[in-house]
Amino acid sequence: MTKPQHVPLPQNVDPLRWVTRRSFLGRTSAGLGTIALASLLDSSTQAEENDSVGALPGLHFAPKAKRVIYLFMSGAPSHVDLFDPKPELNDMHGKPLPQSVRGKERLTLMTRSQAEHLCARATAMFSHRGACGMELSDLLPHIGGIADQICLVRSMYTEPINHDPAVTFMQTGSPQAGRPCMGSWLTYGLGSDNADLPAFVVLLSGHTNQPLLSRYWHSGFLPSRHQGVQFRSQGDPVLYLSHPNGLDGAGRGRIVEAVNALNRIKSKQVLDPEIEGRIDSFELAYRMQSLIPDVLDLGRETNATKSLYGIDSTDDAKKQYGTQCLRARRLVESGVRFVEVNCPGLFASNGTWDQHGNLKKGHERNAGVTDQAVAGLIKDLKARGLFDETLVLWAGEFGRTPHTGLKNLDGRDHHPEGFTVWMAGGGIKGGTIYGGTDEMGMHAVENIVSIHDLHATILHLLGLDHERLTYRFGGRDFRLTDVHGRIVEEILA
Amino acid sequence: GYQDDATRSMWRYRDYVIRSFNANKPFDQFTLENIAGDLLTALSPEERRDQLIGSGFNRNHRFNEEGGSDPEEFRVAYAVDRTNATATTWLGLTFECAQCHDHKYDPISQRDYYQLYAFFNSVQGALGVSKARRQPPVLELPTPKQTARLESLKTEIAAVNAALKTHESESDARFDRWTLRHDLSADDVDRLVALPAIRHILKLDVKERSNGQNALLQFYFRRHYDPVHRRLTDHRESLRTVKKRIQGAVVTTMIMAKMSTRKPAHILRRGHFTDKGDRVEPNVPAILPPLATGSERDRLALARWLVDGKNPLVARVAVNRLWKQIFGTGIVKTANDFGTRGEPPSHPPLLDWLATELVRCSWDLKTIQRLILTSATYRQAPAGAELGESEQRAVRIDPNNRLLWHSPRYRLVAETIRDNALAIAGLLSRKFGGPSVMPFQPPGYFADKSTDWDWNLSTGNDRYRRGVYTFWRRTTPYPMLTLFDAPSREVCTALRPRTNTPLQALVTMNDPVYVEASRVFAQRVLTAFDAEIDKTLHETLDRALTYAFRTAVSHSPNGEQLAILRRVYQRQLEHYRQHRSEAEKLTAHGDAPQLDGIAPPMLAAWMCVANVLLNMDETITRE
Repeated sequence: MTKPQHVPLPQNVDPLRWVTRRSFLGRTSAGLGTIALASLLDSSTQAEENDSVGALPGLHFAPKAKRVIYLFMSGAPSHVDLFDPKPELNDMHGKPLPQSVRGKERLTLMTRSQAEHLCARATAMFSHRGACGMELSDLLPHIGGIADQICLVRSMYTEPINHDPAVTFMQTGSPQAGRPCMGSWLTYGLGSDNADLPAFVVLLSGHTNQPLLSRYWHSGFLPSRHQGVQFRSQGDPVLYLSHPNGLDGAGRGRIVEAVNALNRIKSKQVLDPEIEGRIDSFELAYRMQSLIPDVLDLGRETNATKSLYGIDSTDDAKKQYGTQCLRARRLVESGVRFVEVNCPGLFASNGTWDQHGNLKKGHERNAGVTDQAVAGLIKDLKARGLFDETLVLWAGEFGRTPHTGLKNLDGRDHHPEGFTVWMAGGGIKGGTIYGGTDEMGMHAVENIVSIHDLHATILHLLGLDHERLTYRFGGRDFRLTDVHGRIVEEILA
Repeated sequence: GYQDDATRSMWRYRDYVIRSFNANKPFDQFTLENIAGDLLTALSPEERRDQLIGSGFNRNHRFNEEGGSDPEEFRVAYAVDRTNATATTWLGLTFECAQCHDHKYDPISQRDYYQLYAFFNSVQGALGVSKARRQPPVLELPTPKQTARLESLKTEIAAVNAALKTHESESDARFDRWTLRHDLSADDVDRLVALPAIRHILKLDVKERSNGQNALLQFYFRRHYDPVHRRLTDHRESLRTVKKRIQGAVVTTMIMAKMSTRKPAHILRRGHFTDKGDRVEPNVPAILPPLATGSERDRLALARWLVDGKNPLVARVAVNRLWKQIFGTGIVKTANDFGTRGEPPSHPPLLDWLATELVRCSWDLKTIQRLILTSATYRQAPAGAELGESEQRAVRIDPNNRLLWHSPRYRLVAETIRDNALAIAGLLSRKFGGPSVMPFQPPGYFADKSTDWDWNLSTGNDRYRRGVYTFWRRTTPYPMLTLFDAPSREVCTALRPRTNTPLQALVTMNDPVYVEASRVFAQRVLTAFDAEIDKTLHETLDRALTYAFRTAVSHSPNGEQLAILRRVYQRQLEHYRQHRSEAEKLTAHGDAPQLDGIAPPMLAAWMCVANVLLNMDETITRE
C-alpha cells in the first residue's frame, strides 16, 4: 500500500502558476497547478466551455492562501451564546425586547404571531482568551485556546430568514438555487493542485437532521467538473470507488488497459478529441481508486495527532467529527483546493445548531462535539506549516435571535440581521475582532459585513479579484459576488 | 424541492408527455393543454382528463415545506417559476433576467415580466407553504377497479345508513323505556352501568338532563343495549375504513385551476415579494405580436397566442429543440437563449424554413423529425481521423463542426447511457409508464443528507426500467444520472452540459447496475454460443467476441480490436481459473437470473469482456 506521505504532492511546480488548461475533473493529463479558465480552451474542448469569457492570464494578486477549509455549521449557531457577549442582554433576561432595539427585524412564522419577545441571556459565561484577550464563550474552551489565531467578524448579516435560502446564499451568493457555489468558483479560478484528486471535496458526516442538498456544492452554470465531490461518511467515500467484489486491482487494470486501447483505435479512426479526454478520465479514475482510500486512511497518523482532534473520545459524534477534520487536513495537504466539512446531526429535535428549543443543552452538545476538533485542526495545520497557506472559515448560515423564540426562554429563532463568523490562517490577522452588533446583539451596526463582502475577501486571499472572476452564461458575465462585495481589508494580515 | 419534502406524485403528467409525443399530438394542442388545459373544453371525459393532466406542467415547480417560511414569499416564487419555465420552453428567452430589473440586453422590461407573471398569479389552492403529499388542486385518477369498488362501497354505506334509520325509529321507544327503567334506584344504576359519567346522568331526573346528556345517554344505550345498532354502525365503520384506504391509494396528479376572481399582480421591485410597485394586467411582451383582443386575458389566451403561427419564436424554439436532440447541438446553440446574447443560428434560412414548415403542417413534430432524419446531412458519417486536404480546410474554418460538414459525435445523455447498457445486456424493461421506480443506489445515500427519506429498492424488472422512470428527489437526485449531467430539475433546464469526468468512469466500471449488466451481457453471449467456447478454439472464441462487440456497437471489430478483447478474456480466464472463489464472488453480483451449467471462471472472464465493451467510448457515444 502506498504510504499516505507518498501521495503525489505538488513538487517543483508552483501550484498557483498557470500550467495547462486541463484540470482534475475535466480532461486531465498534465494536471498539476492548473488554472481552469475556460475561455483559453482551444476548439477541441467541450462545446459549453467555449462560451466563457473572463480569461485570467494568471492570478490577480499574490495569493495569501492556497486552499480553503470551510467548517460549515449548518442550522445556524447562536452568536450571543458563543462569540458576541452582551451584558445588557443578560440584564434584560425575561423582559420584553424593546421595540427600539428590535427595529425592522423579520421573524419566521414560528414566532411572528407572538405579542412580545422576551430577551434571553447567554446560556454560558464568556471569558477573555489568549494574549489578545478576545471574549469567547466557555462553551468553546478549545477554540478559546486558539484565540490568537482567529479573527472574529461580529458584524455579519444575510438576507434570507429560512435555512435553505440562507444556506444557498452563503454557498453561492444568491438565495435562489442555481448559481455556482464558492468552492466551484474557486476551483474554476484556480484549478487543482493535485491532478489525481478532486479540487473541491465535501465531507459529509453521516446522518443529519438539517437537510444538506446536493446543490449546496453544485457548480451551477460553471462546467460540472467544478462541482464539489461529496465524500460520504459510510460506504465508498466517492461513489463506486471500490472494485466490485471478485475483481482485483490487477484485473481492473487490465480492463482499463483494454478500454483505453480500444478507445485509442477509435481515436485513430474518427476525428474526435473527446476520446482523448475519455482515455484520461479512465486512467485518472483508476488512479483515484487507490489514492483516495490512502488519503482518507488515518492509519498513519500518530495517536497524539488523533487525540488532538478528539478522535480518541468515547463519544461517537465527537470521534466522527474529529475524523472528518483530520481528513480535511490530509486532503488539503494532498493538494485539494477547497474542503467543506459538514457537521453530523447532533441534537435530536431540531437540526445541528438549530435550537428553537433546548438551547442550552443543544448548544452545549454541538459545541462540545465540534470545539476540540476545530481547534485541533488549527493547531495541526500550524504544526505542519500549512496554517499560513490555508484559510479556515467557520460559519453558519445566519445567527439566532437574542430574544427567545419560545415562552420558556430556552430557544432562539433564526436571525439574519447580525451574527458572527470567524476565519483563521492564510492572510488573516489573528487575535482580532472586526465589527459589532448593537448592545443587545440584534443588528450588525459597526463595520457591517455582507455575505458578498465575505466572498470577495475569500477570493482576494486566494489571489482572485471578485470583480474579474467571471463566467458568461445566459448572455451575461456572472460573478460570485453579483454586483456587490467589498474586500474587508481591515482583517487582512 | 427545498428541504425535507413529502413525496408527490406527478407520474401521470410524465406519462401524458411521453404518450403525447408517441401519438404525435400536434404541438399546438400540446401547448394549449400544458399552459391552459384546465380552461379548455372537451368532447369526451378522456380528453378532459388529458387536458387536466397536461395543465400540470405549471405545477412541476418546487414546493417549500420548511416550517416558519412566509407563504406569500413562496406563492410568488411558484408564479415566478411558471413564468420562467413558460418563457424558456416556448420563447427560448432568458425572461428571468427581468424579474428584478429591465433585461440588460434583450428588449424585455420588468413590466413585461410581471405582465406575463400575471397570467400565472391566480391559481387555486397552491398555498405557499404546507406539508402535504397531495398539494391541491389535484386530479384523482382511480383505476376502473378502484372506481367500481368505491361505487359499490358508496351503495353499501347508503344501505347501512338506511337500515340504521329504520332501526333507530324502532329502537327509540326502547331507549325511552330504558332510561325510565333506570330511574328506579341509585344502587341498581351503580350495579348495571360501568361508566361513571353515564351513571351520573341516569341518576338525574329526566327533566334535569340536558340535550347533550340525552345524546350521550342515547349513544351509550345504542352501544351497550342495542346489539343490532352496534352491529350496523360497526359494519359502516369498517366500510368507511376500506373506502378511506382505497381513496388514499388513488393516484393523483397536480393540476391547475384558476381562481374565481383574479388575484391582482404587481411589479415587484428588485423582485422582492413584499416590495410591490405598479399593478399590472396580464399581457404578452411588448416586443412580440399583441394578444388577440376580445377574449379574456387568461392562460388560455396566452396559450392561443403562443401557437397562433404569428409568434416568431415558438416554432423556431420547437424545431431547434428537435434539431438539438438529433444532432447534439441546436441550429441555435444556446437553445435556452434566442435573445441578443445567445449565439446566432448556424443556418438561419434552415431554421426559418423548418419553423414555417412546422406551422404549415399543423405543428406535426414527427413530420419535421422525418424531414431531418431523411436529410443528407443526417446520413453523413463522422469525419475520419486521417484528414484530406479539404477536411483540413474544414477543420480550420469550422473546428467545432457547427456547419455540420460531418456527422457529429457526442456522448449520450445520462438516461440513455443507462438504458443503452441495460439494452445491450438484454436487461432493459420496455414497460411503458406507471409509478416511478427505485433502481439500485448505494445504501445510505439519502441518510448522509437527511433524516427520514427512504429508498425502497424496486423489485424484479422494475430495477431495469428506462432512466426516465427513475424516482426523482430534487434535493438528492439519483446519483448516476447526476454524474452524467442530468439537471436537478429544480428549475426548467433547456440546455444540459456534456462533461467527461473520472467520476463517470467509476460509474460505468463499478456501479452494481453495470456489474450486473456485465454479467447478464456475458450470459447473453454464452447462451448464443452455448458451451462451445469452453474448447477455447480460436475460431469460436473470435466469433463470440465479434458477436459481443456487435451487440454493443452494431458493427464488427477489426483484427486489432478483436486481439485486445481476446487478450483480456484469456488473461482474466487464466486468473479466475487460479482463483475460483474470486470468480464465484464476481459472478454472484445482481439479482437477475443466473445461467446454469457455466463454470464461474469462464463467466467471470466474459463479465470482464462485457465490462470492457460497456465502457468503450463508442458504446456511450452517438456517432
